[in-house]
Amino acid sequence: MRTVSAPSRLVLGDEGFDFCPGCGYGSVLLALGEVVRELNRPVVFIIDIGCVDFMTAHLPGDVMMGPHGRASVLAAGYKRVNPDATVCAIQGDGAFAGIGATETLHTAARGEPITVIVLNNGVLADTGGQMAPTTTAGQVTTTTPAGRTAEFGTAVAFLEMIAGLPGVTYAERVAISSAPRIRRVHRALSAAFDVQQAGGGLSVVEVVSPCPTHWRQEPAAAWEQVRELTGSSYPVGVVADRRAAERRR
Amino acid sequence: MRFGTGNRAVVDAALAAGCKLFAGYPVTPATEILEAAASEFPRHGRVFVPAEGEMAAISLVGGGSLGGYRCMTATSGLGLSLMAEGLSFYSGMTELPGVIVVQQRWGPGDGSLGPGQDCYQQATRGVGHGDLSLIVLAPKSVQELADHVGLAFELADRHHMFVLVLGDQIVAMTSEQYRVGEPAEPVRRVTGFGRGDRVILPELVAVDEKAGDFDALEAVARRWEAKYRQVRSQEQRAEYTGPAGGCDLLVVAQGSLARVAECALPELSRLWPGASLFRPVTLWPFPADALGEAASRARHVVVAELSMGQMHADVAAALAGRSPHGREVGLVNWLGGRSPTPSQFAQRVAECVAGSSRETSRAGAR
Repeated sequence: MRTVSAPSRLVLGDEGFDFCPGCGYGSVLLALGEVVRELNRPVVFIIDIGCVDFMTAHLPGDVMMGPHGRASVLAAGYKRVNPDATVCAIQGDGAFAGIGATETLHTAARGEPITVIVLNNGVLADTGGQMAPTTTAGQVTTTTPAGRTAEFGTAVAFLEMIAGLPGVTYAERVAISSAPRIRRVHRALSAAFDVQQAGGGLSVVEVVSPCPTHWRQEPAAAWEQVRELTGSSYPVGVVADRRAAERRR
Repeated sequence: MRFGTGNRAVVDAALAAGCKLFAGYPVTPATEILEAAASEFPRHGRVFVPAEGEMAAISLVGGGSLGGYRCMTATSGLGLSLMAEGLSFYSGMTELPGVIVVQQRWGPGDGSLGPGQDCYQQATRGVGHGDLSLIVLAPKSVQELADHVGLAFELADRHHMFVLVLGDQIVAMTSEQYRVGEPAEPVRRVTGFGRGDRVILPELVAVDEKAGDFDALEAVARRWEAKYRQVRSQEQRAEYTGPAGGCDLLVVAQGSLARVAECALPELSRLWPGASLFRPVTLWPFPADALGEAASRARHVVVAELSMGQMHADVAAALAGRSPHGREVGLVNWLGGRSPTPSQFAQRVAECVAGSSRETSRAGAR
């Protein structure tokens, strides 16, 4: 089995990452680097605005940063005119489920044949840890100092909300909370890019990722927190899989 | 020669320009463009996407342009507001080419359904946030609308920016004869993006990956500043109708209203021999030099528009507020979605000039 224990120079570069200590995004990048190397063809990345920006210089391909929340539909535009290209949008949970929810929803409804990677840390981290649509009940953020209450709604599991659309060929949620689960990130990304190579519809991988900085926790406690989240608001596993049905057509 | 509405001519012109992708959302009076594109684009092997809204539409256009092809959308002022963010990112920050046809209807908010020229300010000030400008073309007729679509794609490619074709309800829905070329095969621009060379866009992101290199950021900004300066010096377009060497009365009007003004010129010439019309064809860059020349011997300058004086501000700035004879630049306008007949136009201009002459003589008496 391939592991991500030996970091790939492809993504790490000479200077290493800029992520906060204990952030899960670096693990996703390393897995992505492996997957793209296995694909052995250029991948075009569209990156959203947020902490995902810290990935930009490390992405294993050409990358364009677009407006906040529009990464998926911007990627769809690229793919529409270059149907043979492999195109991947990377967004945070705020972009995916909040400010860009409309664009995400209809990109899914149209079954745009791109891969979307969503990094879900339950906060708007890049701006300092404000409440996101994905913030869970009781969670303290800078804009819910007493914890998120029903007044500001409940955590939005957007992956499940779009998974019922026939345009979504493959949707899986994985998590950064243990070594085996990080290996699962690699497998999920591979599956998603395979869907795109096979001419399927939208493939989405959501990664529940620890944010020790804005969760105000030690990294180990943040990993434990991710484990708890995957047992409540954000269960890991395949949420939609229409690959077999599409092959039959 | 074909016969049809301005909206229909837009689609024919886009196909002739080799446009590859059309994405849009319906809004009166531009909806017909979307509907015509829905049948014509697929029929000619192009990409058509009925987007869920204008923000998605502009991003599909931005993505297609990043992909190396000529792409466009069409909307009205309402939709243009929603595209502001995309224009700032795609045209301003990333320097992608693209074309938007904007068929104006008068009014803020939902406004009216009649013609207006009150997106002038929005369009000529870059639409979106931050330091950016967009080239703005103002067609007066169906033929010119079609011509401007082709020109817009050329200018967009030449200067790596979005070009707005700023029509209105009249050029959108008037039917007349027009001539366009046959559909041309879309050709991919050489972009250097997408080959796997780890290109990072926008350049502002690429030069400042660690955040805080203000020298590098300013260097990019200075290049943009020089680009906009070059566009300003190269791309001013205007039309002058009248005797060479100046005139007594100069009317300044653009778009569909300039066509009304043309028809009103004979009537105005009976009152002011040699009454002339100056028509900005590019609203940005504003043809200030040509205007200065046209106005150089005019006793009266009157701006006519379908807004509360948005272009008047640019004309007044170009002429330092006054005609060479010291009279204030006049304004006549029609609001609420109305446009005048030629005789109504002539009458209002005549009243404006007479009023300004009375003002001047009163000032002289004091």
